Amino acid sequence: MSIKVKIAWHLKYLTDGRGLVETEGRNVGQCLDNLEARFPGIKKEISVRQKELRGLYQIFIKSTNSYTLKLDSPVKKNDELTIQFIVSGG
Amino acid sequence: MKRAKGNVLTNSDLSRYRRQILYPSFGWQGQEKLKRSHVVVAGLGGLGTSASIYLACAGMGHITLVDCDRVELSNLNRQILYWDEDIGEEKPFSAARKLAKLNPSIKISPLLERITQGNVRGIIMRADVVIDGMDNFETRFILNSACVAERIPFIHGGVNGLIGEVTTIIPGETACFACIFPEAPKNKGVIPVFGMAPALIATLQVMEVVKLLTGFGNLLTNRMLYIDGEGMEFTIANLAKNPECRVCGGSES
Repeated sequence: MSIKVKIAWHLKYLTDGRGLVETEGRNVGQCLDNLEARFPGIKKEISVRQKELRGLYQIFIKSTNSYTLKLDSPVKKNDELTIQFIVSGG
Repeated sequence: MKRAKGNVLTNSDLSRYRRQILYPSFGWQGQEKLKRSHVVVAGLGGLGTSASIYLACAGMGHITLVDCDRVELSNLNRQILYWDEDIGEEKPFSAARKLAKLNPSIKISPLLERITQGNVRGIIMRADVVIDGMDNFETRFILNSACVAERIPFIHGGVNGLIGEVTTIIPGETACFACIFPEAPKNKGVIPVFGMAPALIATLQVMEVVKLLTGFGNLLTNRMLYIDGEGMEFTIANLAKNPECRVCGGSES
């Protein structure tokens, strides 16, 4: 199942400069695995560990925040993932 | 001094704020509300200095400026209330001195303190709104918890490089900061920042404050506005309360 992924500006160096890419999967983890196959290094960059995301990025499904998002969170046809950099400066 | 309208605004006020009083949804009633309001600016870096200027210009009746640092040369690319001659000066007092010249009709309270669990409630207690001008998640979590406990709106802003984000948190109504960010990101080292990014986010924070205090327009409640200055893309994400939030528990009351 094809899923569109919006890529944070900080990650575009890993996606040939593209801000919107396609991947496949039935859950967030599968989508990231397939994204990693196309764009090696992206999973490490967003700090995917086991079943959780920890680090500098959040992933939204359909532009909605993801406090409960785990890598096994399901995605459906026409869903869009957004990988968003977490900013902390002021 | 002559009083006018609702007996709160002076003739000088009516002249100073004329161009915003003309705004139909705001009017002199809105200006009176601002004059009666108290905003705490927590952190006087790139966000806090820019926000303070627009709060003062808008006629916020009382602004408390909180920071524990002194001005450094490396601040001057973005912290626009400090000038070369201010290096070494305590930030709250340096900022207050400039703002008092900008608008002598408002009350400005500089506070040289590091915000901690122990003092945060005392700092924000009488505020109508708190503006997030912090540069770290730890203090944002402290402020968020206190704002939720005291039911004070918290206008979050954050920046990195040319990107930024802003959202309006209203305790009991919206997702709180800890709903959105259950834990701090693992940032390393010094964060790059252009001055334009905090300036842009700070003016949006003040726009939210003015609308919130005077009751018009749509707020960025349960929405995060993301600004990407490099790609020139502005996007919005929807935010939802976390029923398991360690701070607000997703509560509605």
